[in-house]
Amino acid sequence: MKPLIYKTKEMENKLIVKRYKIPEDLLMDILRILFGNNIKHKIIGIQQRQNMVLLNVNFDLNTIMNREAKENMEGILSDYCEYMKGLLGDTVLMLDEEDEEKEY
Amino acid sequence: MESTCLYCEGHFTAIRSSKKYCSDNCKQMAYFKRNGLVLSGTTEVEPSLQVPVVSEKPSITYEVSVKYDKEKDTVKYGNDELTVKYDKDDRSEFEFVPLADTKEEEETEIPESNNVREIEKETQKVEPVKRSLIIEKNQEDENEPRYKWINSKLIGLIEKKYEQNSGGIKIKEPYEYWEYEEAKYIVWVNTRFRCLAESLIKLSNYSRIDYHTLVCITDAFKRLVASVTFNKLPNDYPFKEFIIELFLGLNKMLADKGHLNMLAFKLTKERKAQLICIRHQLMYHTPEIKFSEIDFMEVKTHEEKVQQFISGKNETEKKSDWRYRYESLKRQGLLKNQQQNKAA
Repeated sequence: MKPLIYKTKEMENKLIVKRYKIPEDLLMDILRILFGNNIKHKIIGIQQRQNMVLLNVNFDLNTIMNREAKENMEGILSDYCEYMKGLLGDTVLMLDEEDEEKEY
Repeated sequence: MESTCLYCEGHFTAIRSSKKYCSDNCKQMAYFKRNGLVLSGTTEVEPSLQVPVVSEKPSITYEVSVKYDKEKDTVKYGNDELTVKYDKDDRSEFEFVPLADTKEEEETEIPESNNVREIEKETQKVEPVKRSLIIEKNQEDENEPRYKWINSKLIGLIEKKYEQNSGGIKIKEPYEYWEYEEAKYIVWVNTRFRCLAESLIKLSNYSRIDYHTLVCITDAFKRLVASVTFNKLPNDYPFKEFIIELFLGLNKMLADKGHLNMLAFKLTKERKAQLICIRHQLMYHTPEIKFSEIDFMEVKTHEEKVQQFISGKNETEKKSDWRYRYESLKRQGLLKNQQQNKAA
């Protein structure tokens, strides 16, 4: 019989939703991370002109895999931001869930 | 009446039958003996005064010994031992914890590692629930498969190009690496190439670009490659071949997709990585100028300027470079008229 898992309030706080803007160059790499680790995600829009996908990702930070996957994704995006400094304009690749993106 | 002294055991004649000692001296000495006292001036206890030593410890003792510590006190009462633990924040609240092994506690000087182990042991005993939770968590962590780190192909290629270090000091300090004249040409080309590289990267990120944009950028490359300055570049200039390669690729694309109004402009991952790497190197050492503002006309020498002055041409009358380019493209039939452009 599978043991019961009780989730405390502290654990619930570790279930977070992050929003990312994924450029076309990195889309396949990011999707590999999401599918490979069974991470719940949702494509909420696209920016057609800039070839970007707006993605909502649900992370359960109680699990190592999710934590590592989050670090992996954010590492790739921050590296890309560094190399493309000045070329992406005002585009921010890592957003909070509350941040609104109207340009779909 | 004959009697025996209780102290010196000598015989004496007593008036009363209740008399115990032969003299006052024996009486005093007997008093001292009873109370375990020694006469002043004598160092050793009189043999008669010595109390026999009991070698065997009684099985039941009610001796209480207390050991004081910062965090806990050990109270020894008979065979039982109790520990009084203090809470650092609230010293009034404490609890009694029975000791499992008293031997460890009796040691006066305990190494630090042992001390830490003991504290850990005690915390384990005090907080069994917490401990079990930690064990469960550890087991959970062990059961989980290890995460396989995924690297981006594009970023990997950029880093690889960086490792090859195609630019290096040649880009950082051209005036130190080359002679002044050569360095001047290099700076001129670098400024233009940075602008063109940025334009190409931006265009490759767009889903569609119009034909006119492609013509403009190809023309800019053509002017750069055909310029005298570019041909005067030293042979070890690192980007010369790459610029020519890009120009040829753009020309081919223009010829292939000339019939389309809007087209997808894509670069291969390898080429894009190289462009990003070069642009990232140039970014810190070359000024940023917009494509619409940059002049692809060559820097005129002093002699040419003098000749121009003699011929009577005024600098102010000269059209800007982009206008020349636009008109030349129009003459060649590469551009449609403005109305058609607007409609597009």
